[in-house]
Amino acid sequence: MLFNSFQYLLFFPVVCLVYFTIPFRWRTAFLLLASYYFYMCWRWQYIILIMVQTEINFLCGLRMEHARTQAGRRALLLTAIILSLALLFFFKYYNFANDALGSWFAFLHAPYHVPRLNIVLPIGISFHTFQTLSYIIDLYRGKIPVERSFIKFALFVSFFPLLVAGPIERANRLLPQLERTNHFDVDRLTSGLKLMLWGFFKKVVIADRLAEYVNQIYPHPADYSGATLMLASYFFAFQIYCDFSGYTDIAIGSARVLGYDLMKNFNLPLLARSPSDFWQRWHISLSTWFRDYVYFPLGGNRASTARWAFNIMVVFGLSGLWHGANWTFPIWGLLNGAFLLLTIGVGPYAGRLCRHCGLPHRAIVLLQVVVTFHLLLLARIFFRAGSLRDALIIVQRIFTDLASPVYLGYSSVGALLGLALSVMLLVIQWLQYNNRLPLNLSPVRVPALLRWSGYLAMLLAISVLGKSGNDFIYFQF
Amino acid sequence: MRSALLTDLSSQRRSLKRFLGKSLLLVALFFALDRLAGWFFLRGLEHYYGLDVPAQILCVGHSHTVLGIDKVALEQALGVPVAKFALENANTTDRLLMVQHYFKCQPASVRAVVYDVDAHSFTSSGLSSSSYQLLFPFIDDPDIREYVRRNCASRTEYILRRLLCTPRYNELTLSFVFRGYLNKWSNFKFGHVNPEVLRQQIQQGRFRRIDFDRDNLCQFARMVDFVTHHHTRLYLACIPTIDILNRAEPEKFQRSMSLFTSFASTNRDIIFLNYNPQFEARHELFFDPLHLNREGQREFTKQLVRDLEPSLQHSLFVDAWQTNALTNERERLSSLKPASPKEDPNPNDYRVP
Repeated sequence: MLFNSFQYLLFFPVVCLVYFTIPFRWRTAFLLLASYYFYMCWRWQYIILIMVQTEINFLCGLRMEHARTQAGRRALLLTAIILSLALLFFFKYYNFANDALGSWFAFLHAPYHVPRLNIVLPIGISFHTFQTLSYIIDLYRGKIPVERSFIKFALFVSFFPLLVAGPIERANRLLPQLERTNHFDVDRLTSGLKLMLWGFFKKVVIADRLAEYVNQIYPHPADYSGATLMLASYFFAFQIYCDFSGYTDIAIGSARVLGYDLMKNFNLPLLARSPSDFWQRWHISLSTWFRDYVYFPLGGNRASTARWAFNIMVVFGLSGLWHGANWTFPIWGLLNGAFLLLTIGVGPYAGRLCRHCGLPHRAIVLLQVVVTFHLLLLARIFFRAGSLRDALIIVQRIFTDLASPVYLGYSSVGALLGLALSVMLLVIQWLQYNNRLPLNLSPVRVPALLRWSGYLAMLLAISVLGKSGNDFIYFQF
Repeated sequence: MRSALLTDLSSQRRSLKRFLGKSLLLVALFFALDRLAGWFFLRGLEHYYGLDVPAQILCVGHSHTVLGIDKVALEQALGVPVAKFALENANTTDRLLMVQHYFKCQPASVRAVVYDVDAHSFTSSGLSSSSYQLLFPFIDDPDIREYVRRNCASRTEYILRRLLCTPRYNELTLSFVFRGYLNKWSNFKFGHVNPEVLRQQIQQGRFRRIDFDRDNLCQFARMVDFVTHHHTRLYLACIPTIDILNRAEPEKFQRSMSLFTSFASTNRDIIFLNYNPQFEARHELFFDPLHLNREGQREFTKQLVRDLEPSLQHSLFVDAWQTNALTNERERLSSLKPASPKEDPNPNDYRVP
């Protein structure tokens, strides 16, 4: 079931109504059933996968509590991690690894006969795998108590707002919320619905409109000029932000109405002033996951410069691989790591140079935002391109053929509208950055007339310009 | 036992009342705005397509007509009102409904229909399967409503369009709305096709194959019957497509042209105008392999005027003038170039041998 479907518009109110009507003791079980139904609307068979993963981590957690030695605890941790990652590997990376091995064997002129399998990737598998891993690792580290209720733990793994594309919640945040008694709250309902409206607007009006142009240009980059590819890359930057943050807003809004607070996943990333700033604003739940469970255990920045740079590259390489089973993703990750190291190294000198040239502070900030945006844009080409070859064609064309005419696609009106909406989004973000407009649920007051005009404009825009039925990009991860 | 929800609601009665009041007001405002916007959009769209004036020439088609025919130039040159009711991706069924809808809107005015045809007129694949969505703005017409209802992907898609007016439009129809209000009918495509890329695409097999779908042929025949039964002359205008593409499947291309010739041979009032021989090799006139750019539109419309003028001046314009069928147009037309009655030429002159 997609958030941007009529099915969800029926499902969600029914779930809320039943949830707040039934006695408290049944609510967790009801939410679990609703979450399983939500997932089964896609492919019912794959719910077994979630159940297996839940069972493995739940049992390992229980056993870990009773383990007498540290070695026993470690063995249980490793069991849970290996089994969870094995499921993830099989469904997501088997064919990718198989193809890579096949290429190596072919290179060595050795026979290789392992067949490709026709596997349908379960949506959101990377998200719920990482969520369960965070539980078992935190439990091993002694940061959280063991969860003894299977139903609560199963709901922690599969709570429908975050089941398919996050945010990747932590056990110490979500599990205590599942313990508490939630009462229907009008204020939460209002703020949740507002957030959902903003999420729907970003998804169906902006992201899906930009997707039409990007999906036309990116599959055949050799057919288009550098300027056209540049425009498609700009559009993709806005598309992926609106798509993913739109999803997250709907998820957070839905959970909020039900009485749960999910973690913030985005914080105006388009206005980041450096790559390191960007990763503190973009997909925060994943960035912090990698920080806590990969970067810190590797030694973080408490090591030699070379080791620290190595740690950064490992984290970004793994983060890229997490996104998808294609060489373009690890390269995207490594490029991001390289840009981060580069800006950390060069940034102070560039800042000094700007100040030496007498540039005012605002101009320096603008320059930082523009440079960061374009560095990430360059990396994102690898994220979106279908293959490495396509990505290299796009980069080459952009750098050699930028003065050529721009093709606006099947619908030039659609492309121009997409451009206008992207600019509007930037303006809104700039106002939010400067605290003139509310950021998510922050208490900045806006005059009632402006607020109501905004709601009506969003509703009308969804009604007139909204595209329905498109998947969210992050579902495939 | 009192449910938990009722207890929660009664403890927040005031804020709930305020919330419900505001929600109702928002919904009411939204519906009112939706109706208002729907009315505004429909007026503009009807003006753009020429549904609000009794046109003597009705141009019906898909994107080839949208980009190929200059309505204003046609009106100025022929001295008669012209309606250009063309929707991108419209298939033969959509176009039949469009012709019928126009005849319902303006039952007595149309004397000639210029219907765009091409080698793909009967091809089933390639055009959007959701072309019924183009007719959403006219869903109040019972025939169109029934067609849309049968073709909608889901019940919700249909019900939503019946309930609300604004979802009936998309960015394309909205641009037509504003063009209608601004009286802008010109082609804004200034670019040129890249023949090399097209050749590569054809070599790689990346082009739309011609086929002859029985349903499309039947709908086309129904349209022909409908127009001829209304004693209206039907021009099957083959708006040019680029020669490289036309030669991708030469036999099927010729077969499709022969079909139009045979349709034209069945009735004196059906005339087939094939513009490919004249324009297909002039690559500078094409925006993409299928569509003319602004310059192409200008050149093509000039030629269309030359072909329509001799027969129209006598049979349509003068007839209409003498029978006072269009009295409300008389003043406007008198300011245009007066037509000199000529002998009705033999329609066969315009047929492709």
